[in-house]
Amino acid sequence: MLHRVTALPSLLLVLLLPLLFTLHGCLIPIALEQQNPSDGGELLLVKGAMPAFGTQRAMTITDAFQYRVDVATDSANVAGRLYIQLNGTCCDLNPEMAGATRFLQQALVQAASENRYTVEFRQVVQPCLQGFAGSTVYIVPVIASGGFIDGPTGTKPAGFGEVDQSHYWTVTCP
Amino acid sequence: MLTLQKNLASSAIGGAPKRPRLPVAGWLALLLLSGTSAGCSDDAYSTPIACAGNVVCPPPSPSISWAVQLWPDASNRDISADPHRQLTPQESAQLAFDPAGTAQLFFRAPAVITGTVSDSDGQPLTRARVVARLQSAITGQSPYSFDTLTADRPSGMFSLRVPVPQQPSEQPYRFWVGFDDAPQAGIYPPRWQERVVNADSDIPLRLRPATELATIYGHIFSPLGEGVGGMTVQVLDADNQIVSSTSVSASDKDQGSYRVLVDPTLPADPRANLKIVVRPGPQAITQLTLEATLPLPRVGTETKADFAVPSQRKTALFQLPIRGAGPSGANMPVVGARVQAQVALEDAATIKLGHRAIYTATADTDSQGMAKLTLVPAPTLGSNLTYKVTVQSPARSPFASLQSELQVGPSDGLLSTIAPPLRAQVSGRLLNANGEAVANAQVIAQPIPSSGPPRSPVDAMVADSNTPTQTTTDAEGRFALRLDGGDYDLDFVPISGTAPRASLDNRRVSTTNQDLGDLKLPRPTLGKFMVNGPTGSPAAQAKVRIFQQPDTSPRFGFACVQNLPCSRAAKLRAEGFTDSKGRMQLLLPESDAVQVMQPSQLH
Repeated sequence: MLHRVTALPSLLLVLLLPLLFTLHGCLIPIALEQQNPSDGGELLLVKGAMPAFGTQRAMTITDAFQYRVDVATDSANVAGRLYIQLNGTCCDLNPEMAGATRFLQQALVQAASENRYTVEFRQVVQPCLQGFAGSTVYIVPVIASGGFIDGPTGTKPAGFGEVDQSHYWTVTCP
Repeated sequence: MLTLQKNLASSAIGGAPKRPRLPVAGWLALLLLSGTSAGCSDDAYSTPIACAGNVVCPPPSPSISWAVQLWPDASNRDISADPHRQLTPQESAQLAFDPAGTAQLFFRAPAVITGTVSDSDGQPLTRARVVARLQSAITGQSPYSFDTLTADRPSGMFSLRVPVPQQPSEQPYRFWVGFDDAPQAGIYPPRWQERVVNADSDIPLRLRPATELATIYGHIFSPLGEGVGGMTVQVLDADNQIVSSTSVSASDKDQGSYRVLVDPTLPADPRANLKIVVRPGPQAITQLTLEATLPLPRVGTETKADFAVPSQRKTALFQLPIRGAGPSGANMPVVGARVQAQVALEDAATIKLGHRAIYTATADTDSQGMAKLTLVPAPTLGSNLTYKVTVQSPARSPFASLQSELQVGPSDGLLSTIAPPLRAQVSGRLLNANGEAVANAQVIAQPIPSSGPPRSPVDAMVADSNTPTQTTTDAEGRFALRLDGGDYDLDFVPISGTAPRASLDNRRVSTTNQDLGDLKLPRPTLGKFMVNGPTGSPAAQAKVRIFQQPDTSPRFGFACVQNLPCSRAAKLRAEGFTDSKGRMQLLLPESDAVQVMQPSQLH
């Protein structure tokens, strides 16, 4: 299931888009540093994921999954965390409630090309060992363009800059 | 000029974080950043810094076994288009470069698999789950999985679009059919079969008749002898594959009873015992997991397997301090550690029936290093309960993860402190091929998974410590990691384009510090890639991941023999996205490992 980071409601943008796409091949680059002189890390777009966001069917309790997210951002401080939501709803992440949300791991973030990063969760996840039988488990990556407020050793989903926690994987457990 | 202020996303407590609303110009910049507009985004083909200017990088070495994964750009998916022209994830376990260092890659046309799921009488079954799973030929990579449900109209039909493997006959797909709904799963045990997929295929999936199955049945009893509902029964083979499952009846009439059909041809090893695992559902009155073993039943037989929830005291809150002597010698709390406690409970009924009853509790330590665990206390007049406790220390903590035993008495409250030892420090200095310090490179210690038979699902509820640990080199290329005892691969990831990624594999870490000395990265080589779709048109914005396959041939100290560390996973050496013309260039290492300039010293 894919969700946009935020909506694009602006009428101005709607009017400008056709104009941009009628240009023959090229969009005129806007210098990002001019757009964002203060801190970097305000622009964040989740481009894709491996596996693709959506539902996965675990075929046994011990099935292990590994997750990666591709993002576009102008911030080199981009960071990611992975949470598991066990109470059958998504995605009001509250790691203080161990029965509902658990922090799983901090991502390793590596530049894939200019302004493109791979947010890689290297530790395999066994979601069906953590919930009840027959449950639906949500695996929620939180991507923060400016890093996380509690630093690299923390576990909370609050971050600086643009924060995305609206994409997730669903695992149906046997 | 647009000024975007740094936004502090709210904590999740009390609701979803508020998102900053980007002004229009911000979104325009984001559109440009995303590079989805085909046209003139040729950045991907720009030469990496390490090979720019007068530096001529040689082509990638043919002596290294390269592999590649291709992932299409998810945002360019067109569901209305011809399915055979759509891009699906691909891989090639043998990647070859021409003398100029160019590799031609292409997305093979996917295959469309259709079929009908039916029962043994040929009646189509709706809402059956069909999963097509393809093991990756690149070692250590997750399998590719595609799944769907059979339709109501046409009844029982399914259709899946899957990639054709590079060598279809050597990489068969496993097609699995089963049901998400537990009662339905109890009537129709899953079925799977391996099929070679090299083109569109029709694969009918017919479930076995009851005459070809065996039955396992029984009751789950409470300590008072009453039936316990709200549980799920799963029958697993030696590889932990579920060969059948069902829910335990919660109706008044036959509360606590279950009946499950098993296909005796499914278990991978017909000589190995089956495991029957009874797990609590959200409505269950117990949080115990029950596990028994059973010989593989023969076709047409009925086997009884009863379970008893042992009598136990009501759970209570215990506080377990996790504190240790820090690097300075001062007593410090271990903050953010995951603590899991597991105990086997038994009484006369469980002993008589011969099954295990396991209680597992999980908590994270707070800022004082305290784990608040809800545990089953010991009987008031009996001996203490011995819990097996696993403490997973956070990756950046100086304290080691550990396993320990914990005595829990009849009274709730404070438990004895667990004091983890300090982790060993592994340090070194990273240099490039010219002997210059490599600053700001990521250094990742990736644990090598232990080989051996899979753990029982009940035992696997207590996690292994396999957390990767990461740091960054300083201006002089120095790094230091604190690691639990175990086997690791050290992966070095310099800033993109400045030097190739490389690794130092098969390092065994004990409790003593290791100074690895100077570590020299291999020379860079330049790989050029042209990626096309099934019709020959360029595949824009496709993700290309280049792996180096592991060398597991016997070599002293690095062989998969005896008890030596042995890394079997392929290493990601470069990744990036193609430009609008399907092109890209990537730095790759000239040799397969970093060079250790000074021998290891053990302190």
